[in-house]
Amino acid sequence: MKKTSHLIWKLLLVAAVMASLLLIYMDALVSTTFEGRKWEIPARVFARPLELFPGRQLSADEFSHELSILGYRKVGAVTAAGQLRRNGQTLELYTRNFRFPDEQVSAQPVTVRFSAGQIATLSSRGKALDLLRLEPVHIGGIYPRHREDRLLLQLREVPETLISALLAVEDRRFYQHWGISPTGIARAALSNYRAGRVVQGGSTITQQLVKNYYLSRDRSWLRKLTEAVMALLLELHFDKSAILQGYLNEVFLGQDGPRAIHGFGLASRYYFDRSLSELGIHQQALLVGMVKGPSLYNPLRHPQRARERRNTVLRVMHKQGLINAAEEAVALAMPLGLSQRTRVINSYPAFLDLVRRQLRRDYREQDLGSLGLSIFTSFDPLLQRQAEQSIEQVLGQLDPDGELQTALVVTSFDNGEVRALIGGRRPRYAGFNRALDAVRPVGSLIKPAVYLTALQKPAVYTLVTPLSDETVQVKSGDGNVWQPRNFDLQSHGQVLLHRSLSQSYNQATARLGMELGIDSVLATLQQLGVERPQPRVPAVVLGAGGLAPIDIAAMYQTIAAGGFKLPLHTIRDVVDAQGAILQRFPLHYQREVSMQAVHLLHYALREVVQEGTGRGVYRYLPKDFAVAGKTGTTNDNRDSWFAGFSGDLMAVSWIGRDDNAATGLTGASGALRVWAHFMRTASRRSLAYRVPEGIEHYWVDEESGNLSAEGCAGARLVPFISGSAPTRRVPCAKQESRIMQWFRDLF
Amino acid sequence: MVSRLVLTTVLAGLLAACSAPAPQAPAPAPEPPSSGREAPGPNNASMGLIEQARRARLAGDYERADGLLQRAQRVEPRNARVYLELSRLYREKGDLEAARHVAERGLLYCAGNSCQLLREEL
Repeated sequence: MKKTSHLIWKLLLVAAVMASLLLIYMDALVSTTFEGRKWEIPARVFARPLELFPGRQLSADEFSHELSILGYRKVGAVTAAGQLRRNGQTLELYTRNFRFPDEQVSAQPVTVRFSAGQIATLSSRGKALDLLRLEPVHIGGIYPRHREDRLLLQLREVPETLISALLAVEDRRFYQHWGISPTGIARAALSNYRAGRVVQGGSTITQQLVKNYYLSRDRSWLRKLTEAVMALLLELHFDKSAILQGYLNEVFLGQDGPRAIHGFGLASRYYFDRSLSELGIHQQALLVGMVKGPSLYNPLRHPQRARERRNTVLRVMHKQGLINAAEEAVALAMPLGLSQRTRVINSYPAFLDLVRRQLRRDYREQDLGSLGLSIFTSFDPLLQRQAEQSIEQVLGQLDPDGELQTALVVTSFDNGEVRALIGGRRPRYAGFNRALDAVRPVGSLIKPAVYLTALQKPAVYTLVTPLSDETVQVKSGDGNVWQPRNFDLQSHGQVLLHRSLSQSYNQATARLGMELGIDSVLATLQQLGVERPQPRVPAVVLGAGGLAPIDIAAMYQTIAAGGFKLPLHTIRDVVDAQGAILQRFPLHYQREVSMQAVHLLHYALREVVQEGTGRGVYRYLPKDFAVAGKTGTTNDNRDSWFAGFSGDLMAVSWIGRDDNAATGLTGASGALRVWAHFMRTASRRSLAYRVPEGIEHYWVDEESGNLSAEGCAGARLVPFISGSAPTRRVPCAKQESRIMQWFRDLF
Repeated sequence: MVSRLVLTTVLAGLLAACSAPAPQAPAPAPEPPSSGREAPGPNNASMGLIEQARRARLAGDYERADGLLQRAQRVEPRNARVYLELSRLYREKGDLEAARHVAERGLLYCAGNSCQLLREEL
């Protein structure tokens, strides 16, 4: 008997020790996790500052847009910082103080006069200015050490009505209980019994937060017990407002494809396309109602059910005295109010995502941990606005049902900065970032790498080297036979190298790729800045390997820059709270390919848009506006691509489906249109490089590629790397004038 | 049939004199193509920044010089003087390869005297 009680005591002791250890563990877990989230201050991310100077290409409307997103207020007379007055083409404004990484700029009154789409004069207090930079737009806050996309809220940013409604529905005794609430559970049970269905849950806000942080969704009693213990511990360590803030940022409010929507801030953007502080009572009630079952009450999928749930919440709000009868009646009569694209405060999740990744890539972890960082980026809100409009207009026509997805990357190739980024059809929502993560076959977009490989061997290849476009079969290492076909299923016999690229002939390119060797083509890709590994298979020369739009942007960035490689970047400066610059991006060009060969490649890519598969761009652009680019279409029209550049911008556009089904679009009928629509308004400079040294121009015969002369029939002027021009000459048949041709055609 | 041929020949002969042979596109671009959207030549804004950068470099403040030149390049990326000053800055900092590459890049935008100065940096 004595022995048995001894054993029981021992077992109890072991159990007590184990329970204590578990308690200590849970306590540590609760405090560290929550502490970390609570105390971090987000780094402030800024767009590029708008530089104003006489002669700058900028319209009064663009300038007004910039000022409106900077929050300038229109007034009758400008007397204080942040005010604005517009009189036709003249804008008066009072700038704000701003501390840039390199200087403190003081507020001052400024007058800007526009004329013919550019700044005509710029002055302050009657004195002409050469240059002025406006304070940059604050585009968001990010927690550099976290990986998630969240729009994190401070408690004071959350409307009081939403908090009251949330507590009324989810946890009425929140400010009284210690983490668990027996009365709450009883009350919930009673309400549910009376209503005949579940209108209230028994878990407190604290328990729900714990569940969101640490626990699985199973309903075992052990999980319930752990949840209760951890809730008590959380309450012990943190005050109510910290817990509430944590909850508002953590709660699960729906699913969009692969991404979960956590927090009211993001949910507000996702469902209503506006910030939480801009929501009406009816919209707040809908979000509060959704906490109970984000999928069940998803307003996009089940609008009727969501509306009923919203109205239930509104009635509770009235009953609790949060809104009066009139407000209740108005809110009940309102539609769901989902995602109206009016007057949105700017949010650019795709770009912020890239900033976050580049911070982690380029900066030391310990630096990022410091408080109050300011991150100055290359983001251009005006280009982004144009990109969003082009996506909306062109895809709206191509696909009114909204089934196609898209991505767009815009860089200024002179310095390698990413200026605008679209990650999907709904650019304001932080979903799957297709610009960075949609790794897809790129089709003919890869071809410039094949031709550049060839053109770097001027003793063997020039722009007029004849290539065979006959059918081709390649046996790969695993015994499979690869037989690429031309898009038109025809063979074109002997074609000159430049035409093979501009017409995007697959058979000729595959033959050329095999002649050069897969390894040399892969090496060129790397020299151009493509870091994602590509499969060592023959089909890679026709773009069978997967690349994301950002990878293609790196490749075309180098081509656009004349063969000079700069890593694509978004971050100009990171400044700590004391104003010290942590690290600046150095403008170190690297050149691993021949400038002369790139010049020849530019010639062929110009031909693509003038005579080849990319001719469609001139349905949008003025004829004398020089651009260069390449179309890409993958098997069964799954992906539609276009990449190209003007004299100031490089852009890559992609259209496809997330499920990889056919789009019915070629590069020319889809992505090209987005690209050209964007460039028409966004680009300000025509492509115009000085011809590099070591290039000679010759008139050659279009058919044979042999030397011809100016004025001979079928002669065109083609650049060659010095010493590589053809030596054989064709007899010159005098060219028939166009007018003669016209007369002959007449009869 | 014969009369049609004669007519064609006569008319064509008359008109051939006043029609130049049509050039084949695409033409090379040794000169910037004309376009209403072209920005004007070097502006005071970028030249002012370049001058400040030069002074910062001479005073040994390379950080500041670098920031000013990057800003000048954003204001006017086709101003060859930016690349020239960047090249001098990198050379002075001892980064000869970066100095050479940036000068080479500047050659794609230079005109007149600045081309010669950039070549001297190679």
